[in-house]
Amino acid sequence: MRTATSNDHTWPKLLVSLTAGMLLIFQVGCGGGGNNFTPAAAPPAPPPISAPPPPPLPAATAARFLEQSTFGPTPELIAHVQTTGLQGYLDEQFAAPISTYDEPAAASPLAPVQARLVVNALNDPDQLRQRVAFALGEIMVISGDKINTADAFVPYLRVLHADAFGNFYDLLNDVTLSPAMGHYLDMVNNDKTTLDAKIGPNENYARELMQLFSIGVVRLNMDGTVQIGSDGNPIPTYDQDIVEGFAHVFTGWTYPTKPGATLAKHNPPYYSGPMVALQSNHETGSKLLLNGVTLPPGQPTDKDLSDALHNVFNHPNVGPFIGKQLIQHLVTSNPSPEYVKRVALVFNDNGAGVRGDLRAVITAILMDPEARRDSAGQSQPGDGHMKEPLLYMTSLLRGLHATSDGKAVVANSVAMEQNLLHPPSVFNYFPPNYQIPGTTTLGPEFKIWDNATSVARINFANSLVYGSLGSGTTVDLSSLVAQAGDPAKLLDQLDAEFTHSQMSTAMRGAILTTISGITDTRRRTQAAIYLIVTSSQYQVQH
Amino acid sequence: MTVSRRDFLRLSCCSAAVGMAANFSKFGLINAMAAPADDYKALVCIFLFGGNDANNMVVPLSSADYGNYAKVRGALALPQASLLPVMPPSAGAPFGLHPNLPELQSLFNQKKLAVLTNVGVLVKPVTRAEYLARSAAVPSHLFSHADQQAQWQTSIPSGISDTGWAGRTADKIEAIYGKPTFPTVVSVAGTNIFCDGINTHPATVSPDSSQLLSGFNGSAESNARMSALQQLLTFDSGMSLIQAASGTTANALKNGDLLAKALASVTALATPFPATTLGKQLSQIAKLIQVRAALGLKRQIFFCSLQGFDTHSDQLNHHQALYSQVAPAMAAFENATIEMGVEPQVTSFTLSDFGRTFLPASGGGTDHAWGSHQFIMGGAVQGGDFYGKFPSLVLSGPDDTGDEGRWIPTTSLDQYAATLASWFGVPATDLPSVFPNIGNFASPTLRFLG
Repeated sequence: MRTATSNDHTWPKLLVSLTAGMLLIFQVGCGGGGNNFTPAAAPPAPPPISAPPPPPLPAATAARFLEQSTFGPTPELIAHVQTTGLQGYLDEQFAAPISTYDEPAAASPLAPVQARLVVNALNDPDQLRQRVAFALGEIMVISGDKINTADAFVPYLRVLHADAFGNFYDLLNDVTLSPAMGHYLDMVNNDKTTLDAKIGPNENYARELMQLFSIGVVRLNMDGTVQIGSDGNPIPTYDQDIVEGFAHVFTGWTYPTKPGATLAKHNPPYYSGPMVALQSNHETGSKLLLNGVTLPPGQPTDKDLSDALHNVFNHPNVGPFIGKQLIQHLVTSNPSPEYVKRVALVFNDNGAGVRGDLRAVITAILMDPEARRDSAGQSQPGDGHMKEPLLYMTSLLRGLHATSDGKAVVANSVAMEQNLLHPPSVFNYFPPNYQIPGTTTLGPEFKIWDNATSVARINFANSLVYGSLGSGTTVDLSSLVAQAGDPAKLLDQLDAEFTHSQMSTAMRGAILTTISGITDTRRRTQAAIYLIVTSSQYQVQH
Repeated sequence: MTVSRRDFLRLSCCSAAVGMAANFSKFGLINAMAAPADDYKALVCIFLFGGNDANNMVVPLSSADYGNYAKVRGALALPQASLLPVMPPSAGAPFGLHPNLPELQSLFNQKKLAVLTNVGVLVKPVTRAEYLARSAAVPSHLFSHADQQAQWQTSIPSGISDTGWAGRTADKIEAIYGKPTFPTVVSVAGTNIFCDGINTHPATVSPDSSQLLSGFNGSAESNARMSALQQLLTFDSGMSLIQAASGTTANALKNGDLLAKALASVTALATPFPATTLGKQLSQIAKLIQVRAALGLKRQIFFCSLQGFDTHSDQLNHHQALYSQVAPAMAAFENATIEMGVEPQVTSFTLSDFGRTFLPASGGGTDHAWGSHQFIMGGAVQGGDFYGKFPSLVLSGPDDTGDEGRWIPTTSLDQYAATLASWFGVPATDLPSVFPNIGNFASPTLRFLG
């Protein structure tokens, strides 16, 4: 099957029918580009709809949407999305300029990059791209524990940002050939078998590419549920022989050749551009891949790689496996099988015959009826997800119009078990299938929500609200304090910013009682913010 | 299939007496030898995340066996002269510990440290022939980090378990000793399924900081804000994740309070700990043992961990750094138990995802494998010896799953863990409900704890 490559990125025009229950209709465009993928039940192309003026969007809807698609709503953004509408905001976001990282000097430390990531998340307009790129970086993980210089890490972040709205195949390819990933999971300088030394190709990248970056260990139905075999057990997607097949594919690659240098078997560490192939260091035998495919012997290094990545990319697991994780990062830990299936089908075909169109996938995730249970009372018990520490901190800072050099967020991420850019292993800070103890509810971020981290998060809020996060971060509460003469009015405003205007009556009552007993308007404001942002209703994006 | 593991004959003769390390104070020595004044026991799990290459942790030293090791391991082979010799009586042959484990060699010689060889997750005993024919049940998704970590922690080798064997052990213990106000199980390394029971829920304690809310000064306003915060945690939102979040925070506040009061009641331990990741965690565990009486605990289980054992490349350097952290931290902890007079009542043990291929991989490292060796340390340990069966270090040999040296375990995690749980006080009749597959193995418990 031919699949999308970087040459045929022609995006279908997406039309949103707001009238038909937020149903997405993909107009089949001309961008299929010879792709022979044919969906089983392609929706008929609707007649062009002349867009009526968008109905005024409730602030609650705009705020919830921004919680899912940015590093935190602000009053200004909420008002903005009320005017653009959701699809209008998505279109803006897809077109927004990509936030940047300074060109790092060789062997320079990672700390400034950590801080820049925070600063970008706080301030830059490409919020959705950053949020998606961060999520992708938690699926295709590298860690500062090993990739500990800026010149190694920054190009990888740029790949994630550049490909976040692109095609998943390109992402897979660019991640695979990233020297940072090459070093992190040992594909760089992975030698072909040397018979005298009896050392085999390194299996690290081969295994984690399949287990974590693309298909997972068990066969999935399109709705993300696990396929059970006749023996009553989940059906594995691959075995050790296939791992070794891919390990053989991933031989013969080394660091990019430094300008002015000559390609060697093992180029010295250099992180600018993709890894380069050296045919003489590539396994020449046949290679067993997924689904019974075997690559013939003697293929060129890059042909083997391209064939193998397409073999992975076209595995039916990718849509539900990656789609569900992106849903979990953006919207809810517990999507229904139907939601996963709707997104997976868009992954399989964006409506124009293109597989792996991430822009379409992200649109499908955010515009799905299950994501858009925006009205009070529509929520289901398993909805929402725990804000991970970075998102918790940036949401707070953005909501309060804080200015920050990012350092306080970086420093506090450690005690919250999310040391930025330093996940403990390729398995990220938390796994997608983490079950909240004693329940059957998934809550990936609950892996790092424990006695110690919950207190650390509350204490971060305390430092921010009561002004002790350090000189690099300042927050000006004066405009809120100015309204605090009327505690109910103050709560209305904070409710709109932090709990999408849906604070429960009980919560509101308890906070109102407490802050009404505080006469100093500044301290009243501080207490109100503190109680809202330390509450579980705020910790859990829902 | 009969017995999958074969204990070495244990010889009764003692090896040469080894003097106590100089820093074991006379005071500690007396305490260590005194009969325990209270009925107290603790288990301390040290999880080596990533899959520790025990092939380079415990190396055969006899010339033929070392020669074979060096031939296969090539550049990864540790020089024979650098290995720290130990003479396990049951093996009848010398072995060497990794050169960065001198503290553990010393503890081994003091008979406070034992090695359990080629232990791993199993459904039931399995041979190479059965493995190759796929005719025997084996744990699901072998050689996968996430799956094998979960299996080591849950003792459930296939399917999903929502409890760990420490949590289930605590369930049984609390059925005997009653439910304490402070949790029986404590992790100083975040949440891990190891700690979750059916009826018992662990506390997580940070190794670095206190677990108290900052910003409360006892004023009326401060107290009102605190009671509002507590009140908000009780509201039923009807949403599972919010409820779960509130439950954790409420426990955090309660446990943090209990712990702060208990810690205020004791003077700090004199035993120095290294200021490393593992050293800080074990230091915190020592403090939690120190305040056991104040917390009203007769049994405690702890979890701590160290990351970084996934040594696919540059293993020699990584191992040097990792073991240089493990051994001093473990030795400091043992010293702290002596200082507290509880050395015979505290048993520490290592777990890890899996062993690693005996055959090196490109890049100076090793790939994921299966059976591995583990350390057990403490005053109750029948130390100075090896338990289990040392694997035949032969590629495509009787213990290999294939041709890269992935050792098929000859002792089950279930037997290892059940031995620890039995010593801890779980009745024999309860073992099958804590370790569902224990009946698949000829001997449910091993002899490293007497």
